[in-house]
Amino acid sequence: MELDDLSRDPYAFYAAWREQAPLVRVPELGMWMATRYEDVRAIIMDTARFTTVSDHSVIQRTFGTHMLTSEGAEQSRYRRALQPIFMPPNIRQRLEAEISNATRSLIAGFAAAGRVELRSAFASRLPIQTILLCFGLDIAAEPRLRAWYDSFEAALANFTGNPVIEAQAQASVVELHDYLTAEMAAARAGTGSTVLADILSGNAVRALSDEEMRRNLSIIFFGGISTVEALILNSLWALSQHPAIFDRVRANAGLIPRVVDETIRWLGPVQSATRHVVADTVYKGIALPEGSIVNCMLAAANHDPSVFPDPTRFDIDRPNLSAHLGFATGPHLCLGFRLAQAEARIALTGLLEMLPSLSVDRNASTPPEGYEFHQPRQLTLFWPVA
Amino acid sequence: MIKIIITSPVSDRHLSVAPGDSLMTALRTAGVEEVEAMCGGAAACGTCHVILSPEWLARVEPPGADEEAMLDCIDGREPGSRLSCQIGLTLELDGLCVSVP
Repeated sequence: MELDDLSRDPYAFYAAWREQAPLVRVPELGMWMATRYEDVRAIIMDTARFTTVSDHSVIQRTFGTHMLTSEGAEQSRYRRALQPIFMPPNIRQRLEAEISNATRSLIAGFAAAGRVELRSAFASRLPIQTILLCFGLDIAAEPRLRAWYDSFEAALANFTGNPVIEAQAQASVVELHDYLTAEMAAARAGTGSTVLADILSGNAVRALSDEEMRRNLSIIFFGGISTVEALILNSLWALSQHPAIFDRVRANAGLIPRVVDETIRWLGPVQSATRHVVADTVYKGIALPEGSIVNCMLAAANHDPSVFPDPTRFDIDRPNLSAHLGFATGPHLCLGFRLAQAEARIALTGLLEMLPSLSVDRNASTPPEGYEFHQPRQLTLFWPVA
Repeated sequence: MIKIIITSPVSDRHLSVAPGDSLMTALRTAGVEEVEAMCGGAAACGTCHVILSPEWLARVEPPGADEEAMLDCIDGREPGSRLSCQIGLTLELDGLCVSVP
């Protein structure tokens, strides 16, 4: 198997593996792949046997212990402290209007040009601004966050273990933690973010040390950045491939939430959720030694024909659209799933309202690729200007 | 089997379900799709929120810390609000009336 082929068209591999067995070992990657809906779901739910905790994971080495590298009471303590930010009252009453303003301001910056490479000018920027707004922080920090998170992404894709890349990521963690320390101090002193001040004075957060708070904020920021960038780009890619659906959406913005959900199912930004075998075990007759890596392919589960008939078809009218596992499930279900859905909806609504005749320039865009994160590297839009 | 009476904006239904599972699992199995239950029963999403009347509320175990924290930040919490994934169905709950908000 060539890894480049997997990256180019992961769905073809998922289909073959899904036919083969509940778990398929891929020696080139040194891991097992779960691709059937029922197995992906069962393994993610079975945190006693399949854990996110591992000394070998890059995410643990880069960010330390946080809600994505812990289980049980510890994970629940982290999650409880920060979940109110991501619940409907906060998103609807405060954040949606702020995200909408940020969206419109970014689009206004290029609307007169008639053409834009959307990833660099919009899709990679809005999620960073949103995560800052989410915590009441100044969006002027956007370029610094961009640089730090670029180095984290490089570290996560550093499969050859290049020490320079790892050292750069470690240096970025220190800078990010210094930034968070300063913002937390300002919030406590009454001179900084009132949102952060509210969080820090909450009972649940008082159960977290400042170091735990910094680690969890770091991973939350990370979780909300590239993922939503990909969701915005993939949604537009999907629409550009389906002109009849695109026409319906242009005429009825009320369909946008269905476009977002079907994009997550059809062309998932996050393709996998990695788990580690706690102790020697047998899953459906397959012996798994302690420490084995089982990659739960969310994107493969979302193309399982036993749950989603005709799975390769992009169909916003599917009755069970929201049954996808694109946000994973279980205790590690994406904490920000409502924010991601709202943000992608607001982004698409803003683009279609302000640039109603926009089209995707296929010649200046690249098809989505990648088997961990899946998105176009470049997506160019054009529209008529007066 | 026990009876469950559902009131929901989608449609009102009478279900006959086996005890043993959680209320959420019984609702999902019976096709009550509006109970999304995205986290599959980990009290981590708040999408299986239901409301019980006072007489039924008194007959189920009180919420644990995770459920309480989640209920604190969902939309439209009422005195009878519960996460259906945290309610175990027993024979004593035959006739349970559940409202889906």
